[in-house]
Amino acid sequence: MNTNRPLDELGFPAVVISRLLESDFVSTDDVQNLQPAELGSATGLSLKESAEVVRLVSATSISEPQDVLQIIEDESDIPHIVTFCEAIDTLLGGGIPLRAITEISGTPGIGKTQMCLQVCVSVQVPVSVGGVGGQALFIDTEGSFTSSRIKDMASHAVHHVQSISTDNPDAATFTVESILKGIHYFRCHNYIEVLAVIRHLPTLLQSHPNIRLVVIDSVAFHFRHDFSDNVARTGLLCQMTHSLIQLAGSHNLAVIVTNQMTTKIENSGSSQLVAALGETWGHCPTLRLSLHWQHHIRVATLIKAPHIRTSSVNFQVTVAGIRDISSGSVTQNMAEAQNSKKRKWTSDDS
Amino acid sequence: MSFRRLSTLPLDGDMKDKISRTSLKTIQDVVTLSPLEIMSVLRLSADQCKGLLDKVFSLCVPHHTTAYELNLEEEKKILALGNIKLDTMLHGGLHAGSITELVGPSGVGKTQWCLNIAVMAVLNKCKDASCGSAIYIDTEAAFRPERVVEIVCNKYPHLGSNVSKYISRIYVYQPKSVDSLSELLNSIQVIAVEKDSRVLIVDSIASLARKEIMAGSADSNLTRTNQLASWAAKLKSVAEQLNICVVVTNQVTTRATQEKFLITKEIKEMGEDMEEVHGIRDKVFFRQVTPALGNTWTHCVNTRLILQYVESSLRQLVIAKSPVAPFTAFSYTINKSGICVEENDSFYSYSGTDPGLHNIKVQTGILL
Repeated sequence: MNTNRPLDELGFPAVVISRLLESDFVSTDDVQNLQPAELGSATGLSLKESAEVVRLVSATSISEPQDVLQIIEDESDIPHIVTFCEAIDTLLGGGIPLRAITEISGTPGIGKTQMCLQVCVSVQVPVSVGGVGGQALFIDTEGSFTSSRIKDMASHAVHHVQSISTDNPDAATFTVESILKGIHYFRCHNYIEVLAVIRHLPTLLQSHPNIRLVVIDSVAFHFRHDFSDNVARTGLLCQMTHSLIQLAGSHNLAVIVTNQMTTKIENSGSSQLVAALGETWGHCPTLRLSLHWQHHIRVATLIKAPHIRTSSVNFQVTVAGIRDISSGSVTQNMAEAQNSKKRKWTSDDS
Repeated sequence: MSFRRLSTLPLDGDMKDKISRTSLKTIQDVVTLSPLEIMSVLRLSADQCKGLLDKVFSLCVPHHTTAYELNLEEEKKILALGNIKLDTMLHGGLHAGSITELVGPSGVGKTQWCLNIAVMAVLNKCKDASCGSAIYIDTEAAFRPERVVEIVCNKYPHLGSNVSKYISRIYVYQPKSVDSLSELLNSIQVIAVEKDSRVLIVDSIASLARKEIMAGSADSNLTRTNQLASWAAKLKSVAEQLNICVVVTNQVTTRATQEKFLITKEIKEMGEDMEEVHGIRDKVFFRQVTPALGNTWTHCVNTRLILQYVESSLRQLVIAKSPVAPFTAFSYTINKSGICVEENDSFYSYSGTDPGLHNIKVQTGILL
């Protein structure tokens, strides 16, 4: 690739050039593949000088690293997608982050799909009211996507946005119809279609540059069922996550994948529920959020995050979508549930 | 698309030659290999390999649509259960393209619900005006034709002699073993297309699996989970590809959990709850009736409806898992015209319990 050039054409200081020529390093080919320490010991140049020579000659494409201050400045403006549940937003440091993969795992019926639908709606909240103003892409492997449920959540979100900003032009274009049109949908019947959609994403993102969120609900279904060979599965999963992470970074996307729970049998014979797809997969998502029941209350626990302390919060799924449990409604709901339990499920066996 | 023959793809002649000399036949054969394996099998350069994969994958991308378009289509493919409140809660009824599970103890009315759904499917016109048929897979030999006639005659007394026209559109299969059910499900798509079905009912999915593949050892558990998963995948694909409703029934199981073998914290809490209810605080373990077939299966169903006893004549339907409805309970009775849901006796709540661990009330005096 690099054409061979005499070293004295590269504009090094005279001292360096003479040292190099003295030691019979005449052209760039002679220096190629040498490390600074090796060049230094062969020519008597200082480490600093030889490093300079090596960098110029090898014409490496590796750029300057970012320092911590730079990163902080860059990331302070990474937007988060709010979930409409303040407790979960706080737990995640402001919401579902863009440029990262968030895994949501949990037992059946806990609200994984609801969480995904909610985020598909809230990613479209206009920028002027503090949203991301993007579109969503939903990759459905389980067939739980229901547009009438989206409609419920969308109308509540629209109502909320209009109530906080009455004369905002952005808010006027934020309608149920625009929300429904802003959710792109793929139904995948096997893992090959999932992989195909992910490979197709760059093309799709070109024609729909507004997409800020990619949801895979669930990543587990086909990958758990279609494989007898765990090695092949892990390989494909890793490939897939790799391309997702790259896309998330380059196109400024939030990626949400949902995962199922599986029963892990310990050697002692006891068993516990853990997220499916194995330990290797556990390394792939940046954030892992686990949803589970505690009594009759839904709880979200952050189980992996690079920068936030892991902890738990309560949430509920209402007609409007994912919401906080206000202290009043907890007691009310609990009372309601318990009353009805007593009323309806009274057992005669005691 | 993944079963499309490679020889029909728009590839250049050289590539086709190379492929024809290998054992690769379909798209699926190619994509299950890693890029390195493809390069070595087909003797391709990295760029050629990438080009081939790009082409192959671009053909597998499913149809792109938006929630808006889906919403326009969705309304016409819903099968109402025949009760206004219940249907409102479920956003219209059973949604085509998804699996609905009815789970409950013996005698609670699972088969009655199934018969009812079959009748609704053949009698109620859908929006595009064509009446479909129902496929009824009965694994427990519990299907009684005279009960179907009774339901239809009492529910729609005005039909008169037209009854025979309708009941001839309920097609019944009675597989006797796991293998015959698997075989049936393999060809179910052909049958469903031929018969123009709106609904596919499997009553019950649990009985064969539980009878033939005993749970217990880790090995047989795995076999059963895999068998169920493969059935679930077949049911899902027939539901989605033909856009019909799939209804399956499931049985209940009794969990006896000792304190030290507690699976999750939640059960422990539920357990304490139960101990209070049943006054068995001094016992080391507690018993709990939950849906059978385990956690992985619960993930496979889109909607779980739990049927349980409240009193000996009053039964309850609980929406325990649904993509659209909150945790809701309805009372119902079974009479001559099938299922009768009590309009006024229902409640819903945004809190709830784990549908996999829901403690199901069984008939008093039989269990617990």
